[in-house]
Amino acid sequence: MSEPNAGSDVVSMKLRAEKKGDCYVLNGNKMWITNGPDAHVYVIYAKTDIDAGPRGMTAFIVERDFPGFSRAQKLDKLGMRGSNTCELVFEDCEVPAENILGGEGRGVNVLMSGLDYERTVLSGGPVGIMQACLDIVVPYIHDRKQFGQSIGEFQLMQGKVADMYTELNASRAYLYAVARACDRGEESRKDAAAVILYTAERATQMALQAIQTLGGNGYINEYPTGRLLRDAKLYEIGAGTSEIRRMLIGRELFKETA
Amino acid sequence: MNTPYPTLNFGLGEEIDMLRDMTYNLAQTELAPRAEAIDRDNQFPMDMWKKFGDLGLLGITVSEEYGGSNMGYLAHCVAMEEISRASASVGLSYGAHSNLCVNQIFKNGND
Repeated sequence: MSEPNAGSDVVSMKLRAEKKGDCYVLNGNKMWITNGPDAHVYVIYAKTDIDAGPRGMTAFIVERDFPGFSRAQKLDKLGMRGSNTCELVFEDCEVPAENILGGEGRGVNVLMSGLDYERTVLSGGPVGIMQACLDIVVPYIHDRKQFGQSIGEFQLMQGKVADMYTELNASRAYLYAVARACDRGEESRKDAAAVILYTAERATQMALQAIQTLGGNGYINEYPTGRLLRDAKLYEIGAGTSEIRRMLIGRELFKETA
Repeated sequence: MNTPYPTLNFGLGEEIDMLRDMTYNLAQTELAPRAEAIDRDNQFPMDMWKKFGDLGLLGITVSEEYGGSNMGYLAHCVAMEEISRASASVGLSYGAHSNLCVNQIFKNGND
């Protein structure tokens, strides 16, 4: 859905889809596409009516070998390396009308309803990263000896792991509650945004604490804590930034209580 | 929950606990040992797709009629968590594929 100039303001996307007989001709670019270099099938959001605002958006299924569709260079990212990301390029790419997903002009519904599930499911990412932090830290505070004892004997270290354990379990409890609501068909825009806002920020902070617990070892690449930090940071940016999530939650909460 | 310390039982049910164990075992044996190289070389381990597919993780929210495993969003979150625990980047690609692409086509597509 993102484009070079349409990130948080996703509805301002410029990718055009002009009807021509039984086809739509796509022209424009998509940016930050996860799995972009490797995928065979893509869900693409485009403007079928540039003057209709959100109602002018349509979702299409695009296949890798469609003429006029290509992929630019894989991006060299800070973290989430190996999760291949690239820009997609459409130059007079003809897409059959039958590849429309969810109906012409219904793209905004497809996109927005999908975002609630996306934010919920992706929250499993930061929760997994937090567990990975504890997987490293808990054995480490036994093995690492200073002043003749395991560093886990020190109250400052116990305080660190106490906070990590608490934040991980609070994150899990919220995530599982939001996911169960989705399974009951009671998905909530506020809570989907809130669970990824919370878990993403907790994961980054927990990765920093994992680095701190390991001291010098946490700062070298022989230990995975640096990677966990670089990977965690993505979740404060991708699938909506923390700023957009706060805006969305606050706005919904205010509107609902007007 | 396969943690290096005793933890709370979140009571997610037998089916999801089994899914977690299965995903944990695959991710810890096949993925975790490669996480550092995946990060360093910026290369996705393409063989993992087939392995995730064999466990039914790729179409986890898709009905059986379309070849999915129809386990729902809670199960999807748990799979996402256990894959990300081993390699967060592979987890992200897994989430993008199974949710942003597959689930969107399942929810909004027609025959």
